[in-house]
Amino acid sequence: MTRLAQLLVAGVAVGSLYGLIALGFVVVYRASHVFNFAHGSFLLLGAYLTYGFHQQLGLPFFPALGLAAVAAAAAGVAVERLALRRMVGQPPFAVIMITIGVALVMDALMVWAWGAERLTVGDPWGLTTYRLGGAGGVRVAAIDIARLLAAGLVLAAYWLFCRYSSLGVAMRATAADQEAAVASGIDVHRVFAVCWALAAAIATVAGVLLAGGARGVDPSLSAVALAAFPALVLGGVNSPVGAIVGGLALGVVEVLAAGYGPGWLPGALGANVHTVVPYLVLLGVLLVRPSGMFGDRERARL
Amino acid sequence: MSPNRAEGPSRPPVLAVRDLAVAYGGGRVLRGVTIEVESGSVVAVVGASGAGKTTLLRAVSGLLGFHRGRIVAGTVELDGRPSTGDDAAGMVRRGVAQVMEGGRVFPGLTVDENLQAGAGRGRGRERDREAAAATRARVLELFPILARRRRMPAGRLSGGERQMLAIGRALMSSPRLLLLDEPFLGLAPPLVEQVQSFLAGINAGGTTVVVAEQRAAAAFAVAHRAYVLANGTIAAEGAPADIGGRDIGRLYLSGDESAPAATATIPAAARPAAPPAPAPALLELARVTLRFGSVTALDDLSLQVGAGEIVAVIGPNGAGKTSVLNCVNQLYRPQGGSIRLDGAELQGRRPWAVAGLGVGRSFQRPALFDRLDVVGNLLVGRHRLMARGLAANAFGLGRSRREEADHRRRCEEIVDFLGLGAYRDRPAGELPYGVAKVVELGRAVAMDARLVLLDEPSAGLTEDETDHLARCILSLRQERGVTVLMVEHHVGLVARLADRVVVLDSGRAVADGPPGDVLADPEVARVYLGSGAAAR
Repeated sequence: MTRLAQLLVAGVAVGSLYGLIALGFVVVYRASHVFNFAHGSFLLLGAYLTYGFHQQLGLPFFPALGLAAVAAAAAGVAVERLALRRMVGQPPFAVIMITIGVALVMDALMVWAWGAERLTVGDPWGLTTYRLGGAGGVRVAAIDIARLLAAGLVLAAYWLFCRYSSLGVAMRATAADQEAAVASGIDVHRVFAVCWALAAAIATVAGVLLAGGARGVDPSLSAVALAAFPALVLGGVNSPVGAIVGGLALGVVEVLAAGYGPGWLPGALGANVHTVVPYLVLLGVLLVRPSGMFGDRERARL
Repeated sequence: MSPNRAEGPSRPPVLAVRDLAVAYGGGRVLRGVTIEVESGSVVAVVGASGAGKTTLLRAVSGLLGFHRGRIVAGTVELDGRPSTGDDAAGMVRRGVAQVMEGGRVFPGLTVDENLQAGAGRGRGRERDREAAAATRARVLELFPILARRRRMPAGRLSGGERQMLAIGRALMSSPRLLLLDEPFLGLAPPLVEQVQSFLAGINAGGTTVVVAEQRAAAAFAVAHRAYVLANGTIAAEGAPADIGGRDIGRLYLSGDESAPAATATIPAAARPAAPPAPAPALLELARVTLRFGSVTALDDLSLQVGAGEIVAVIGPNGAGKTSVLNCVNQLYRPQGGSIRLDGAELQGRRPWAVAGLGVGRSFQRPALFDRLDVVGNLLVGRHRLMARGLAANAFGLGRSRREEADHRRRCEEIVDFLGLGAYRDRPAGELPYGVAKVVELGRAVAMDARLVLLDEPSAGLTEDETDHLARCILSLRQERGVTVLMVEHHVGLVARLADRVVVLDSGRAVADGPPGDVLADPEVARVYLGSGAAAR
């Protein structure tokens, strides 16, 4: 029982991270239908900037995180202005290639600025763990609590923004019907820029929580974004709630598969079954609901 | 009701469109359109579906780009200043708001949020917010029903309420010029009157209004001046009372009221010899009902197409014409009724299985494979006839190669038959629009179809191209015995081709018979022009 609880805690923590990463994808995709393969690079940028403000310039951690989020948001707007604005109306494949190009450039610049070594972000949670239910109880790392809280808070903040700010309403209008939004006088370019800024800020939070604790930040961090990909598809590419729920589901399934993986499978397959199981779940969900758990169905009219 | 001209005759019109021509891809849908809209007036632009009304509004409001359309000639001026090709957001800032067809509200947003989105720029400054609140109060006063539904998602509003919300959303930008696309579409008569009185009220408040509408009577009731569009050109203009007194049905249908009845223009010898009646039914729809949620697209519809017959389905926008075709090849699954091809039930079959029974199909906009040449596109149509297996094809074994050559020869025959020889090796993506439509017809036939379904074959074609297409369809029937069920709004073409015409209105067949009788039927004119037209 304790083992199951322990695995669930680990799964929820990993899942929160997946959810945060997927949410960043969703924010951009929903409004502009751009699938942003540079999102992993924004995770990395956010983590490096926090490291820079906190460890290199000596600011306290949370102000450093806030500044990093603002700076990453500015970088997001710049990418949208410089690389993507002129791609409006181009085939989706071309736009995807542009985002991959942006990712390569950003990764190279960051290696140039911060090197390839693993650096410690210096987050306040570190390796602290709590034990719930006395001796023999479940161990919970402080950073895992932060991960879950952050996922919940960011989703709530995004939801409130969408619901109550006029820019948020403009974002939802653009997501629902771009032509009608333009006809209503909404500046869709401004909406896209805001989406990129939000996505980059969310990526900063996710990147720091990913690099925090024992891991640290190094260029391989940007590849983790791809591990959140099944969460995105599972939840539905245009659903913020789906991103978080899909992330949690993915995390729990993955950790449970690792914990209870069938030992009788031969060699490497037995040890790595947890990397395969999420995709099996994904396949199963997509067979029943091709747009993911919370996604809108899109249909072409003949 | 005369427009307010107190500010003197020297004042330029709010909107002036001169010699406008617009094209989507290769198909030119507007030619030489000139329109002037005086400040403070209500102008009606009427015409059958496909006449170019929506395109005209898009050209003014800057939304053509969304549909890959472009202005190829002519100018658009606002208050005497050029605005040709300005983008939509810029036009809203200059005081031009558009209500798109079908009350395009944002379904996931509440009524309040829809209005907020209409207030536009989303800067959220205190003064803007107060101004927006005042405008919203005025809009809600105009539409009290919306005031009671402020927190309801717009997707749950009725059709009439959506239309009101769409108008209200456009008013949130305090426009000087309001463009409405088919504001009466799908509304019941009492709602039509309600929307008319709203428009009169908005106009009385100083806003200039342009209404593009198929139901001429409904639009004329509020307009000071009217234009009739037919096949992309202005067929008539003047005071609504004058135009309403003329033969509007003829104007709509052919663009020329002086032309004698359409059927009479075809010499008897040139008329297709109708198959000996009663022909055995090749296609038989019996009591077909198709619903989308609460909307009934086809309502207990029955119709028959005899073997070798050419049957045309006409009717106003939203009558369910394309749905009939989609039901026959089972892209839509009707909730009730039966659809039989030569006695075999089609209901429940997969679309490709229906094609396998010999049902070809063309689409409103050509859906060709851009990179394949013309012959290649036709070969795709013959895919279901290719018997050789994958392995045999992969190794190019003798029989498979012979089969391929055989299919290619058959396709070449069709190319010659349709007069496409000059384009044989050109990729479909480079073909002129009119030629692509003929290739689309060829692909539908290439599968040795017994029945072809054509969706608006003449849409976007010039008169010459339409003429060529008509000859192709006739010779297909004559020499290959193909049966045709087509949706078409070009009544000249319908009169020339069809043995029988079925008129749809709100998913029901309201008339069925030879074109001469049906097109002269006052009931048909009523369907097209909206209630009240027959009384004029």
